[in-house]
Amino acid sequence: MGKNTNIYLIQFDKLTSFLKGLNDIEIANLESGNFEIKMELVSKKDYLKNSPSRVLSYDEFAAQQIIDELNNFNNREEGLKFLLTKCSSRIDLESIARRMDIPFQKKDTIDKLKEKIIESSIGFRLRSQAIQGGNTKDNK
Amino acid sequence: MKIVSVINYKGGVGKTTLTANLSGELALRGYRVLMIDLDPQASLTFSFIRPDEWEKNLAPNKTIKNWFRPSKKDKKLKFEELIFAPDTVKQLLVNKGELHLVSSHLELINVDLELATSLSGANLKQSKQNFLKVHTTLFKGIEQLKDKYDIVLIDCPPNFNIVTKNAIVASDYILIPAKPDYLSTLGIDYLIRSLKELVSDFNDYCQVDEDDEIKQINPEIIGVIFTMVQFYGGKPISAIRPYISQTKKLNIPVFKSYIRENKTLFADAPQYGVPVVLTDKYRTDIVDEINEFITEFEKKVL
Repeated sequence: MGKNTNIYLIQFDKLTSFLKGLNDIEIANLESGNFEIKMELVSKKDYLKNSPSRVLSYDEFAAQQIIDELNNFNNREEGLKFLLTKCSSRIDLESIARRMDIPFQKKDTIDKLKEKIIESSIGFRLRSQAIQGGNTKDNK
Repeated sequence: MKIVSVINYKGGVGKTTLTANLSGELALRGYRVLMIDLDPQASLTFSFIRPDEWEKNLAPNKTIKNWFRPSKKDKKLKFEELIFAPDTVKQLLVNKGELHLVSSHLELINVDLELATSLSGANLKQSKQNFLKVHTTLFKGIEQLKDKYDIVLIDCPPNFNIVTKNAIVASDYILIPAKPDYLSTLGIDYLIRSLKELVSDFNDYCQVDEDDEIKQINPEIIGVIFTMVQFYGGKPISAIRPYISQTKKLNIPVFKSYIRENKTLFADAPQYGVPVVLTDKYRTDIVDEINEFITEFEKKVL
């Protein structure tokens, strides 16, 4: 019981400091009843994987290389072909989307994930060029 | 005296709220600020004066409409005669800077059509001269003020008509408020395209008129400020982050700060004639964020 009490206290301390760190808007959100605090037990390994300032894993390094390549394409179809040669599984695509900070949902199909990746790496530049009527690199 | 146009084609991006708060805070920091409301909806005007007071005291002969479409009585009008100091902010700025306004007029929407009819000429040279004359109307007014103000902020309507083009021609800088969503970020591209076309046409036409010394223009896009940003966990929500990062990747200058979505705070502030930055002491977190943006702006412009 002694050990359990100790771990409870440690976790309560963490919860208290989390609550103290909430800003007014977050508190207002909680008060509104539309938001709630979610707690879950996660492995430290997973936690560290998502923390900033860390060395990239091999998979992340590979994903970044694919993203860097996609950023150089000026054609959606060619970019998609390239993407398919590099990865086709849902896990790979999610990994790239996550690394590009693209929001996605579990219900998104593989085709939807591909489209999101292509739009976020190539499509947005083509849209901008089409509207601006030329190269966008001289706006500064 | 620096002249800045606040513009986006897309309406409802918080342009007027931004202009009012930027102007208010700069005045609080000691600058002499003049706001010019070019939007026929007169939202900036009605953020500082009640519509009934405006109708009684300003509408007849003291709005920007009198400058663009002077009556016979207005022929010798000086631009400074259109300026008024809103009472609502005077007390808050004692021993600080100045915050003045040239109000808009609901009939300004018709002025654009009338200005358009003045553009045609008997030959190409005359058409170009008319173009320059019509498009420098506001510039000539602001020029009369010399260095009476440190900064002039022009709240533009959400279009690219002649009145808006007048603002661009008069400006040193362009500030683009935008919501981080798909259509609003496309709006930034439309605007940049239109700006390039206007600058190109104007500078081309300048060379036609050798007698008149009209200088070429080169308004600089000072940056996009993302407005109405929703936050979660201390950063913009995931749905909007891609639009922010994409805009940065297009080499369009983007301010590091954001203006947060907060209807509770911003919805009724204009009704009381005082921008949030000058009044709200309870939501210091939000006011601090606005101030962060204004400090960035100050470093770039002033």
